Amino acid sequence: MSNDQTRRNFVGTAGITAATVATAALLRPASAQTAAAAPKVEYAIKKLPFDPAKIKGISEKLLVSHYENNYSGAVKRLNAITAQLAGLDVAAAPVFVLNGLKREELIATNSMIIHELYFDGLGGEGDPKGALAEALKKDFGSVERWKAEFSAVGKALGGGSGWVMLSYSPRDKRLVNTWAADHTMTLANGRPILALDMYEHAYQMDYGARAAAYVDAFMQIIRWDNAAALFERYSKET
Amino acid sequence: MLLTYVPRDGRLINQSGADHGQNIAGGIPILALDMYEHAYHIDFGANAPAYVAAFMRNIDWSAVEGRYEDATRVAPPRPLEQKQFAGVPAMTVEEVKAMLDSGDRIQVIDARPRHYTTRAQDIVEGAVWRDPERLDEWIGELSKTDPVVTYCVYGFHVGCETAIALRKAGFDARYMAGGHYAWKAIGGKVRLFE
Repeated sequence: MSNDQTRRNFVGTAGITAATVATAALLRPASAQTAAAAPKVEYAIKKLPFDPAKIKGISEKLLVSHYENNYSGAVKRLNAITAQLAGLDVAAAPVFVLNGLKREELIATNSMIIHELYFDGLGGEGDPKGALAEALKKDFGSVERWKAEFSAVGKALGGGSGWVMLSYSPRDKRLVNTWAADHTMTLANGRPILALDMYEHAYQMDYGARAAAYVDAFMQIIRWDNAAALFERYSKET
Repeated sequence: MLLTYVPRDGRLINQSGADHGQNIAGGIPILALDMYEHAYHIDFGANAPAYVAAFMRNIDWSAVEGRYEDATRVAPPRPLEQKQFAGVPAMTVEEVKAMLDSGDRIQVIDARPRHYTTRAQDIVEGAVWRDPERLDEWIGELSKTDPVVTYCVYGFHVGCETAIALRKAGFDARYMAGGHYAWKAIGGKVRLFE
């Protein structure tokens, strides 16, 4: 379905839906108000965007485990959660069931999205160039200063788990580094363009407790083309 | 509680946040229901359902529609560009499986690197392994009239490069996206790798 169609349907039915729900509320108990079952959504596992044997500083074994267990596992889990939610009578379900499913849905959704961004950002070298480099200078003082902050936040997460993300904020038209203690934490309305995985599954097999060495290795192998292409599009949004 | 548009999938999702930090990555919130107690306790006490009902009655849908229209103009994240593989035709594992199942004439080449095959346990049923580094030695075995499908471990670099080399030599070659792992993920038949 195109965005145009979606928008028309949304605009066209919003008023009707509200009226229908209001009438139904008079006739039926709250627990019977659940509308027709939600459509089934199937998220697909994307392929690895690189040859894991050729990534410097992170072993093939670790990358394959990361892809198969953590990323692919999240997509499979998300499909299972989505299916459960679609079949749930949400108004009648105990709150702990709904809280649990919605929490897990968010964890799995973001794990999928941010892992894809992480993998897309691996396998390059050097420093950012062009408009992205200029924006980093504008918002952080210099590329070096950005790098220092981004990697320091990563190292500070060592021994725990989480993400560091470089995100474009359309609200303020600027780039920010954001800290996350788990998959669910991202900048509201932010557009992430680069992600550093600080869960131990991302480095423990190769680096043990030496999270800082992993962060230093990551900073050397960023595929800047991908971040630059994302930034280019997001920064042109009106 | 947020109603969020996700450009990645072009769809709306209801998303709950246990604090200010929890958001769908790359999502665009278009409607927010504040469930912190500071949002309702003074007026409603512990009667959160009454607060939610009052909120639902008072939504300014025209504002939400405006935000929705803006959100749907945001393009999904650009797919990663890999110029070196642009223009090489790919087949999905499902398409290859359908061709094999229906008995179509198709030459399936397992081009996993030699170093990888030392520990490989299985191979796609219907495929033969050929060393991608020694293409010259086996290219003569292939028929130019039947399509060739190559793949490697993850269905990417090596499988693609082999397909490119075969296409240059005049074969109707494609690569199987996702490779050996994608084949196994759909439950495709494998046999012992000997």
